[in-house]
This record gives sequence, structure tokens and C-alpha cells, in this order.
Amino acid sequence: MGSRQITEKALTMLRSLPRVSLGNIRDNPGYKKNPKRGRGQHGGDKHGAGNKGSGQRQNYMRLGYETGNNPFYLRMPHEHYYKGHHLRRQYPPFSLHELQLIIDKDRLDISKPIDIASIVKSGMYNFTPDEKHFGINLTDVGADCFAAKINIEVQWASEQVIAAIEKMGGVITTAYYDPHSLYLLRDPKKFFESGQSIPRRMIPPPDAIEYYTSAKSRGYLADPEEISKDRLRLAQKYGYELHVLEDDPNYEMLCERKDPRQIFYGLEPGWVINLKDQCILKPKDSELQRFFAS
Amino acid sequence: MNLYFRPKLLQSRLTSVFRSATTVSEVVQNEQVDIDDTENSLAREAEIEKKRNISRLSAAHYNVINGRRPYKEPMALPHLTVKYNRKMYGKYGAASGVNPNICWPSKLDIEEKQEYEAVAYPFTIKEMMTMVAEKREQERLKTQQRDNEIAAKFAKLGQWKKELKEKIAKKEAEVEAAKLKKERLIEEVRRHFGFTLDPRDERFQEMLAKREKEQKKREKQARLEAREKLMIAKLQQKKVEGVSE
Amino acid sequence: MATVWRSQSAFARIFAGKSGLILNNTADLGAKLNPASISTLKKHYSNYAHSPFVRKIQEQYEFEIIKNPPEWEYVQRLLPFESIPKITPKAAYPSGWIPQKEEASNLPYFIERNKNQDLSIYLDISYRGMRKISKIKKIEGDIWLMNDDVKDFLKKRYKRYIETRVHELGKFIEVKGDYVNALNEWAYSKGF
Repeated sequence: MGSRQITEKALTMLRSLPRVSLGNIRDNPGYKKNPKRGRGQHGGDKHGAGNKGSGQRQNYMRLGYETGNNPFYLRMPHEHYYKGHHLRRQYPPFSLHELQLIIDKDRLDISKPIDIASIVKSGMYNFTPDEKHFGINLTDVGADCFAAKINIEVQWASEQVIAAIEKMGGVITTAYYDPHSLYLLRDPKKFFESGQSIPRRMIPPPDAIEYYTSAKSRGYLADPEEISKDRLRLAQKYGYELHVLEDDPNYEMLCERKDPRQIFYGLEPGWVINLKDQCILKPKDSELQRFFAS
Repeated sequence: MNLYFRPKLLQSRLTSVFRSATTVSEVVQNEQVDIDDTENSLAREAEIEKKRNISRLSAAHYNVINGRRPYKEPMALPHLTVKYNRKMYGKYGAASGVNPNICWPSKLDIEEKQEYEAVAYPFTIKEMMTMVAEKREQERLKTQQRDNEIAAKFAKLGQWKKELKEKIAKKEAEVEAAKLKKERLIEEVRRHFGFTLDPRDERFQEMLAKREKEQKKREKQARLEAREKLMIAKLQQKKVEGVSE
Repeated sequence: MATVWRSQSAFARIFAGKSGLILNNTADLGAKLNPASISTLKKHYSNYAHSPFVRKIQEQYEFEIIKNPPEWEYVQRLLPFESIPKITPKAAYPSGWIPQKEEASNLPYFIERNKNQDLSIYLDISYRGMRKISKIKKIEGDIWLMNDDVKDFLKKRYKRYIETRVHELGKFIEVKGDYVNALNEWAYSKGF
């Protein structure tokens, strides 16, 4: 726009001006700084070199040297094995055996869908979102003794685990929660007592999107048809008969899933929960509703 | 947990004792005097409360223990903030006297959040999926191309091996041939001289050179003759063809 | 300020908060930020100093308060237990958990279960793995008799004398060595 006109102008000028030579050009102002010698009261005497020491004697210590003690730049060695560790997500493990234990001990209600909040509530699992923990990694320890039909939502599960759960007629989903949502799930009571409105869950980052959109890992963003195909594939691979979910009396409970923007089951973003008076405040303002529904 | 609640239990026991002591007289008094002593009775109640409360807790802590918000009036800067008031609403509900409007984000908050999300999550899910699919496709193509290249090269591998062997053999053969030729010439010259002369001798070298020249001439002649023969054969063939037509 | 313009990941780092992790692993796409946005999007830790004053908020939203809403069961599901839930007896426990049996109370000694309804038999390892002690805790009743029984049981099984230590006041028995599984078996067989 403006710069274009300037270049045009410059070019037209050039066409009319005499030939450019060394005799009719000069550098931009400020190119040459004439160093003034230090003379007189302020520039003279020690000439900016201070008193004694390596500074005045022009025998400077090397950059980073800390007069003998182990300098900062040498204290932390290069340990390339944890390069980029701050960018890696961690999923603290939780075995199927543990899951069966808490089901047996009645710390988990299997008549309702299970998610990370209910597992943390049971008291047998905890994680710290501070330390880049992004949720539950359901491991296959105890997969052959697992015997419970559940609707569970974890953050990471391998094929064996998915097979073990589906063998019993259950449903497993892998879902992504951003760290803020994880704090909420870890301690919902504390969040409700802070008087904030329930926020929206964020979408997974680009390097996690593949996992959560693939049917093979039962991602929450995957195509349901692909998932049902993969259920059949797993049934054939691990040699069990595939349960027909539609015929199940608990069909509704087993198919209950959260919206990708929902953090808690049954509670939508934008609501304010009042624990003391046992009431829920739902916004009616259109802008707020639009924001929370986006 | 027990330790925490002990003073309360003590208190309740004490209050029950005092209540039983005072309520009787109060009831009696109220029966006797009707309405005009309400202010006094309230004041008396307050005084009794003060005497009852031997927990030595501050007013704020006493309120918290009894499930009320600690301060009714703001006493410090944080009490004026949105965060504190939201907490009061969350913990004490409508009794906290807070307008629930502040529980939701303000317009500015919403705008800021949206801007943040636009930068932090620039791609939609579909876009990310396509990006990943493209990346996988690229990888697949690259590996496929490499595989094809290698397969093609493998096919030619046998031929290359053969060619290499031939080349080496040819070189060796040439070297052999040259050596043999040299040997033969030396033999001939030796025979010519009749006695074993040092090959490095001058006369030997001259003779060798002469012989080599003669050999070359003969070879050239032979080549020319061969060519002529070919030409004649060709012409003859042409003639034959012309006649047949 | 100039440094903020450079890369998106650096920008995201500003918002990271305490953990300092880049919450979205996006590559550097050179997103253009205008000066206005930078001034408003400051790093906000959640503390009272960064929270605005209530009197500054002018928004008045319409909202509805629903008392005893149908979704309250979802809220109750999220609230923590007041106490550890009692375990209802079941036909089978696939996890391998064995409940306490009534017949155990008839014995002269007793091993109490802990809060998680598990047996308090633990393995203490010290001196870099050189010392292993199996500790049976929460013992009531005739602890010396139990000690004899345990020693007999272990001797029969492992064909050698196994040293134990009895602590009456502490209500525990320490067995020298890693015999936790064997002790668990013994305790379950007795019904504890």
C-alpha cells in the first residue's frame, strides 16, 4: 500500500537523477560514531575502567566465570535423554486389577458411567496435573481376571485393555482433558466451592489428535461406525464373542458419553453449582450461552 | 478431627447448661412483661452470647465454624475482589449475600478467552485430522518411492554384477594379452639375435621397436582388408537384391 | 515485547502458569499478534491480586436458579465419600480380594483389617535390599501363641527355622525374610 508508492516514487526519481556513483551517495545517518577520547573530569582519571582488579588491568575473566565456584552454565549437565520432557504428556498407570479391586470393594458404582473423577473419588488413584499428568493410563495387569461390565472413560488404553473390557460386554472410551479440566475433575468439590461457572473442555493438541480420532484406540472423536468395526476385529483377534450392546438392558448407561466440550457427566459448561443451597444456576443470557456452547 | 471439634462440643454442653438456666427465667420474664422489653431482651441475648462463647476464637473463625461467611463487611482488599466473592457464594450459597452475576465471566473475560483460544488452538479438529492424514500419506509415499527405487535397482543387480565381472575380466585379459605380445616379441628378437641379450640393451630395444612397428602395420593392413571384404560383401548383396527385384 | 512476537509456542509459554508447560504442542506458525492484544493478555496466576474488583464488573446476566434440579444426582456423584463405603458381601471377588470371615473371631488371637479392608502384612526393605522383614500388624489377643503358630507354619513350609520378633505393645510380629505371600495365605486360611 504506502510502501508500494514509495518504491515507485524512488524508482521514478532514479530514472531522472544522474548516474549513481561514489561521488553522489552517502551512508545513512548514524553509521559512523566518532569515539571521543575520555578527557576531563568525567571521562578522564580511570577512563571507565574502575579500580584495580581484572577490569582496570584489562585481564578479564571469561564470560560465565564465577570466581572459582562451579558456574551456572556448567552446573546442569547435558542430559539429552530428557530433552523435550516438558512437552511430553504422562499418563500415570492404573491397572485393570486395581479397577476390579475398587469395584469389589464397592468404592466405584458400576451402574453409572465411570470416568477419572469417580476413580479419583474412590481414593485408590491420584495424579498431579502439575507434573504433566494428563490422565489415566489403563494397563493390562489383571486383564485375564477382569470380570465387570462397565462404561469407562480413560485417557489412554492399549489394545489388550480394550479387548478385556469389551469381552465382558462393557464400553471403553479414550478422551482428552486439558490440564485445567483435570484439576476440576480431581477435586470437583473444591471447584464448586470456588463459585466459578463450569468451563469448557479444550480440544486435544495436534500431536494427540491422531490417537483420539482413531477408532482403534476408541477415541472420543472417532467415527462410531469405525469403532463398531474395530470391536468386531478385536473380538475375532482375541477370540471372544462380541456382545450385542443393543440387546443389553443397560444399553443407555453403557452408551452414555460426554460431549467433547463437557467436563462432568450431566453438567453442562456455563452452569454454576451451589452446594450449600442445592441448586444449579443456568445462564439465560444469549451471549453467555453462545460462548459456552462454542 | 476429634481435637478440632472438641471446643465446639464443650461449648454446646456449656450452652445447653446456660440455656437451661436462663430460658426458664426468660420465659417467666416474658410472660410477665409483654412487648416493651424486646430491645432489652435482644441486648441481653447478645450479652449472654458473648459470655457463652468462651472459644477465644476470632469473630471470623467463629462464623466459619458455624457455617457463616467470616466477614460481613469487607475488611481487606481481597474481600473486594471477584475471586473472593465467588468463593463466598460457592461456599455459603445465597446466605453469603453475593450477587451470582459475578460467577460467570465478564464480556472482557470472554473476549480474552476467545482470543487466547484462537492463538493456543489455531486448528479445528478436522484441520488437524487432515494435517495428520497428509503427514502419514507423505511418509507412506516416501517409503514407497524408496522401496520402488531399491526394487528397481535390485532387478538390475544381477546384470551389474555380470558387467563388473566382465569389465574386470576384460581388463585382465588386455593386460594378459599385452604381456603375451611383449613376451612374444622379446622371444622373436632373441631368436633373431641368437644369443641371450639383456632386454634392456639398446639394440634389443631398437629391434623391439622395429618389430612392434611391423606388427602394427600388419594389424592395420589386416583391418583394412577386413573392411574391404565387408564392403564387397555388401555390394554383392545389393547387386543380388537388385537382380531379384 | 519483541521476544513475545516471535513464536507461538513462546506465546503459549507465557500462559502456561505454574507448570510452565506448553499446553498445546503447536509448531511455530508465526502468528501475528497486535500490540493491543498483548497488553490485555497478561499472565494471570489465580490469586487475589490479579482478580478484578466487584464494583468494576457491570455485567448483569439473566440466569435462572433451579432448586433441587434433576441433574443434582450428577453433582452428588462427584462429591467425595464422607467415610469409606462398607463392602457388601458378594458371591465372588474376581480381583482376588478375600473378605474377613466370622470364624476368625473364635481364635485366641486376631488380626484386624485396615481401613481399606486389607490384611496389614507388609514387607519392609532396608539397607539397599539386604534386609527384608515381613511385618504382621494390628494383632490382638494372645500374640505369643500366634507367634508360635506362625513359626510352625513357616518351618513346615520352608523346612528351616525362621526368626521372628514379637512386639506386644506395638501389636506386631516381624518375621525375618520375605514371607509376605506365605503369611497372607496363612492369615486367609485362618479367616482373618
